[in-house]
Amino acid sequence: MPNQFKAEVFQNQFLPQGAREVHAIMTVTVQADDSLATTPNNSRLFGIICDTSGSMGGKKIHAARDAMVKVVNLLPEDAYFFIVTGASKASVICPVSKATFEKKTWAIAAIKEIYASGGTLMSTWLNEALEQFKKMPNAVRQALLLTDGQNDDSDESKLNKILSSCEGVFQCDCRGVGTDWRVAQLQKIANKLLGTTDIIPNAEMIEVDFRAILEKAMSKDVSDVAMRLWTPQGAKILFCKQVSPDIVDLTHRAKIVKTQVVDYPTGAWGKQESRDYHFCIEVNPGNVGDEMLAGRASLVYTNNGVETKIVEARILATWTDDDAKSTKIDRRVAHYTGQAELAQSIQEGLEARAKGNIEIATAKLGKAVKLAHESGNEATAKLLKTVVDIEDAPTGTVRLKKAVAKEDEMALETRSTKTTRIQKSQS
Amino acid sequence: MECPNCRTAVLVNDQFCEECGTSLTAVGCEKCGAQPEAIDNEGFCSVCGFRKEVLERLEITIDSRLAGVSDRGLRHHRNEDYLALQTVNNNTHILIVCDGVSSSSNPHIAAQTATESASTALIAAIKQKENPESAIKSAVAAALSSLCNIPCTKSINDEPPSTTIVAAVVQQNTATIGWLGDSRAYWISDNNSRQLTKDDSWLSEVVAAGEMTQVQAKQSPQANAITRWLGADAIDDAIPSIINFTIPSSGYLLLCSDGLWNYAPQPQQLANLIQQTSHTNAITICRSLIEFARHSGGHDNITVALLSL
Ligand SMILES: [Zn+2]
Ligand SMILES: [Zn+2]
Repeated sequence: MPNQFKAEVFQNQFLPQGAREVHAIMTVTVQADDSLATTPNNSRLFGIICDTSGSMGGKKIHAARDAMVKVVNLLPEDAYFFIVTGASKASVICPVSKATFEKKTWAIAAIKEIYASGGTLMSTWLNEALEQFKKMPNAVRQALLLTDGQNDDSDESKLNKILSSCEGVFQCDCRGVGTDWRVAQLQKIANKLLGTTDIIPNAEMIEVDFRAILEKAMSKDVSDVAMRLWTPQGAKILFCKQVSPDIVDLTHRAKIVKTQVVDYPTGAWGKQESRDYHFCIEVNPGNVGDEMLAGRASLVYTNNGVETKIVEARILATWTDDDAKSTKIDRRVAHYTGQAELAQSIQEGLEARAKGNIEIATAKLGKAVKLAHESGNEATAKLLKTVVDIEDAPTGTVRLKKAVAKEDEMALETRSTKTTRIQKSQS
Repeated sequence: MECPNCRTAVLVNDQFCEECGTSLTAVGCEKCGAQPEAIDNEGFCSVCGFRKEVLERLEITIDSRLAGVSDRGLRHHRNEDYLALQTVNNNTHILIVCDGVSSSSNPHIAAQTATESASTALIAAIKQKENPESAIKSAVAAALSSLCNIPCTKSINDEPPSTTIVAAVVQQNTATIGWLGDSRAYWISDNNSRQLTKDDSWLSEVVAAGEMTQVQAKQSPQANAITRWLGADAIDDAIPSIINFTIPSSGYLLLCSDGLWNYAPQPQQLANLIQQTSHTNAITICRSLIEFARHSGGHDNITVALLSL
């Protein structure tokens, strides 16, 4: 399995005299190799966490029930699953079971009994899910959380506490159906649990989304992978971000392994998956002619307490007085710096718009349109069009739309971190 | 215990090898003082990250007649040239210059490895009274086999570590010279200076074939391409060209990398430069030739080895 992973580093290793900041993009790719079967001890456990508070009543709970039935039917027979429903309290309507025909039939019968009532205390839901996941500590452990509303304010500190307990035990993708939920709230849960956040504007779309999540979850076969970064003594990691397929700032997730070495959890990896990381390391500057190993990045996975290094790459720095070399910026570093700026412009533009600050909102969203256009990020460009009228994309000349659907605004907010990759042919 | 360079027996507490001058005290990191164990295979310090200080300049003085200098130059961030000099049995002189091929992986290691193993093999062969021509051939073969043993961690798209080599054995009044690539040997004397080697290069081949003039060929992007070298990707073409040169009078045998001869390709230009120094000490002449190349731009690493005869 280890040799399926490949890592490549793109950087400009040449720095002018006195420079201290080293930027590098690391691309990690898992290459499908059919001759290597999934390790049998890596069983997969998939948990469904579904909101059944009162607000889910009617169309939403019907759609959620239907979607859950479909997902249960789609589970491969060698996978394990459980279902937790939650309102003010959580119930395990189906504890951890192997996805056999009998267990599926039993679970589907239980799903049909679900009805919506009560408040929203997500800490209780996550707590029940955590107990289920603890039953299979060596499985690839992933969950899906569906909600339509906001967590009760009284639950804030309990939620934070349970999130810390769940961190590292399972991963969780979060989905908000409708427009009454809060983006920041779900993003907090998903970020802590290494998952994604997205909006499902209409209940009818739940099923398609659930299928996609299940499919992705079932493709994962290496669990508990960490990005391990060695840096020289005296160096400071200014940031470590996942930058593709979407931007996730990992900087604050660093766990110290020993002096000069930190781990960033990256969750489970699937076949044919590829992610890009952006490292920014501040080092002690060298003299012209000096060479330095500014970082050594590796992926490490832990199974049954045994650590295995999957892949490693080096980040170098060389100080030079040759301006032609030191002024060149690597295309990939420039590209992802631009994508981060794009995401930030959208966030700031939407915030300004919410506060009624039209001038700043127009400027920020205009800049976002320009950046999306330049980098060929069509998905984001399309989302931007729902919020602004574009007069000229290359210059970022836009006008704010008078009326914007709430769901469009939320979609832009949740998806602004999706990045596009630099085209291979351009190199 | 023996010297890692020339394998002469040395004492545990010796600071330097009495035979070849190699330092015997293992050095750790010069930047942060970390122990030698902290230095990884590629020379990076696992504490501070710095690579062991790249040698700006390597100077070797055997005596007032035999010396050499290898200099980083002004444009390259490290020196990918290397040289070795030795006098064996008081009357046989050995000179070797290697210039790592910059498009290959780890050219600096290639040049150093090839030089050191060729030098060791050549000394051993001469001590066993092998004739100079076959001694050079076996030294080049030894250098190739150590090049092939350099651990290569890079991708298969990279060229394996490669280098040029020019090696000379001077016995009585004959200089035997073997080479692969475009590092040169010159005979320099008052009125009889000449280039002894013929470059294994694209440029010299097209000019020799009459396809282009020197001036035309120099403008081609291939002008600096070499056609033969020492490396794992050229095992089938690794027999050095050999010339036996009868030393006609007093003068200098000069070996150098293209970092020097690019600025003074004609033998007479080199002769003039040496004359201008008005010194006769080999190391002083070498230093002034290096200074000349650096003043002319120093675009490449510069290596000079000189034997006064
Ligand atoms: Zn020695
Ligand atoms: Zn050090």
